[in-house]
Amino acid sequence: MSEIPSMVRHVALRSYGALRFINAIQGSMEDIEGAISHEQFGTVVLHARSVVLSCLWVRSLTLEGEIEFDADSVSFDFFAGLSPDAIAQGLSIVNDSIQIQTGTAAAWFDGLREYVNETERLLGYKAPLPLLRSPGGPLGFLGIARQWSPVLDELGLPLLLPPEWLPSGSKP
Amino acid sequence: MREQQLTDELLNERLDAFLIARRTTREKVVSDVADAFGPPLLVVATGSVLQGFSNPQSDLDLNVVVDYSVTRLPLPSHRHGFLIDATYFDAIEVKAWVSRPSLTGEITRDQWRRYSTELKYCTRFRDSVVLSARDSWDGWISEFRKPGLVSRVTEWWRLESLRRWCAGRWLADVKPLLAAQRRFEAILATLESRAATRGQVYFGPKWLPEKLRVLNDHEGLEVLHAFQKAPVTEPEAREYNSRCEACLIQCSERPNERAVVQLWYLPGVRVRELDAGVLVSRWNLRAVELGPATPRIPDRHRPIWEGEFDTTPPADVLRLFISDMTWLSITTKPA
Repeated sequence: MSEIPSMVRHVALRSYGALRFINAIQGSMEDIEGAISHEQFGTVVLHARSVVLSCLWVRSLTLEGEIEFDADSVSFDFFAGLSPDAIAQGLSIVNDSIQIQTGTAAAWFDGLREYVNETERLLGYKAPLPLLRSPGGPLGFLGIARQWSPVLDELGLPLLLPPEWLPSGSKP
Repeated sequence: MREQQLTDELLNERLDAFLIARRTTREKVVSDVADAFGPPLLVVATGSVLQGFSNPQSDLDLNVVVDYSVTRLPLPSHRHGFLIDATYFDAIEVKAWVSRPSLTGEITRDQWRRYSTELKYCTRFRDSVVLSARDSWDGWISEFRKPGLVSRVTEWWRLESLRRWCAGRWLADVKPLLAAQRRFEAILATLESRAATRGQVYFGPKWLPEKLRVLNDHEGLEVLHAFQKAPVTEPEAREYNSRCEACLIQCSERPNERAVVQLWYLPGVRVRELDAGVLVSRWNLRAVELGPATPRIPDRHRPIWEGEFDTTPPADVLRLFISDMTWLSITTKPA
């Protein structure tokens, strides 16, 4: 048991953080693995940046991070409240990907995976999150959404599920 | 640098190669499509496989048009030993995309999102192989292959470059690392626009290096390589931002037009009156205290500030932007 300094930020980390993992980070990790196997190293660099920025945002959620992940909003801050060391650690993983070659890619990917796993552990789930691309993934995620949606609603926070997943006419 | 023409022959070749390697057939793939929304009007294969960017981990994307109101809830299938990712569309919305005019005038976040999503889907239908069709729905593919779509995608990325460039400028003093990220994105968008003019309209920004490689665009790849190393400290970011600014001034296409920046309050923002100013908050979680001249929220359908691309807003408005309380749009007007 641990003290929760900010209930709203704790809820944000557990819910919106999990959504980002399931909806984006997991898929990008699979894409990176595929791109490495096909030696598409330029694509690996851009995928890695996307993964690390998402992880940095997840890590910022208990600090000063905006709870709605919106990378298309050009003022959205992936780094809000993070220490310079935390930012440098993440971005250095991206920069290391620029140098990878066939013989070094696996070791680099292990490092990225450890960083991602460490970020996932911060979310506080006892088991690994469901994989959206797996047969039971969407239902697994809907289970998480069912758990948190009433709390988010009570706190006046935005919906957890992406609007495009909801029937038209649902609350934006 | 060469242009790339995605012919039906090439698209079919790529699809068949993918299916043969996985010991399956088009018929089996189509049989996997759910009929919960009624018999499909159109089923097409699309995505990175047909673009020639696939790798052993790639899934096969299917776009399915039905005569039913549907959502985009992912429905993955592994029945054939690999992932088939089917996305369902209502026939009414698909028909509406084709005639949708470009964004002009006042552009809210919702309008921007809907337009970009629709543009992405249009490009997916454009570069696709029809697996099954009824009621003449295969004829709709030719609508997506009209030259207008290439122009719309090219222009979209050009304006995206300006949008992210503007943010990079406004963030540079207070948040140099974030400014560096936005300027890098502006450079990527410039390269996307350049690739789109040569036929690479596929909406998948992470595939940009592959697109430039296919186009034999050495100059584009050189620019990408020059800026892909992210600065990790603020001093590094300031130096990086100067280099990006020079690159963007040199590379950006600015026809004879007025690029106008609009700021809108984001969802969840509230403005509360104080004795000598206002408290602006988002989701009651983050807040910034500003002066009395800060814009209120008189009308959700009007921007709180509008100005030329090369200008900077008043201090309180700029602070709202830096504090991530506003959505930034770009629109163009005749010079």
